[in-house]
Amino acid sequence: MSSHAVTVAGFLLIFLAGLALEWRARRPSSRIPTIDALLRRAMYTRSGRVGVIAAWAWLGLHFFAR
Amino acid sequence: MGTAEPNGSNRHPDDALHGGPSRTSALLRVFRDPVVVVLTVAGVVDVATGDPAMHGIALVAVAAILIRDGLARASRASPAERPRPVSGRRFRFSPAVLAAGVAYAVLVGWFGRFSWPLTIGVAIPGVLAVAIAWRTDAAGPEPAPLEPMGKAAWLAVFLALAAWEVQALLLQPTITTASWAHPTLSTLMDPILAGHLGRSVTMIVWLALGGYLLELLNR
Repeated sequence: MSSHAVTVAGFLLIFLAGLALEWRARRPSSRIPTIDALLRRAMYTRSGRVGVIAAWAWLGLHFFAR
Repeated sequence: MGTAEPNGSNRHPDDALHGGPSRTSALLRVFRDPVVVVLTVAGVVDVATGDPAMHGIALVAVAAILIRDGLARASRASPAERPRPVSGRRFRFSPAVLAAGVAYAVLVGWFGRFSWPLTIGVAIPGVLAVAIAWRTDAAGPEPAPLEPMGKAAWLAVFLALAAWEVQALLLQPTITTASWAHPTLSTLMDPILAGHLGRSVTMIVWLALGGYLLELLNR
């Protein structure tokens, strides 16, 4: 297995772990928050709101902008 | 604007962060705000790893604005004197917004990657969204505290992603030279973003994510 494949597999594994966590969170009486609940909690304060949106804006800059 | 708080109390959520028993402790809280720390560190690391300086400066600038806002809040004697975010116009998904977003992505995706027109095309929604987040108050009642185990589970996923990205970055020939053998997420996106279709589809996903985040402020 090439180092490229190992690296990509690692990213896929983490992505799947996130999906599994979200699936688990949506089960009744789960103690794990959904990503929705996590973000709403994080964005309840102004610094949280601005921080999360700034991180999103940075993603756009990073992938597209000079 | 001194409106009644959505949760019915006179105490604003930001006061919990910036208010407190003394001004000194309030100032300390401003500089120890995790959002300020993360934005500052991310901005510095971003520039150090070879991204254009403007990207890192944007993050540090947002952190600086948050510090300034926190200091302004802390300098006011009582929570009642502190300005409240405006809960006026809110972002909402609608068929017209969706159509406009797709049209915008198709148009902007036409421009070459890392060109000035595309940079402006990304900066406009980015700045608008940050401005909306700044001015918009949380609409609903304060969300219930999260279970520590649940927070830890999500933190583990985000830390694993960050650690995997960093190991790929460190295994590159140099920190600023991309490697297909040890690709970061950015390197993996390069072939997709090389063409118009890939740029436009990615732009649609990015705009949809931003819209989803702004919609969360309405709940």
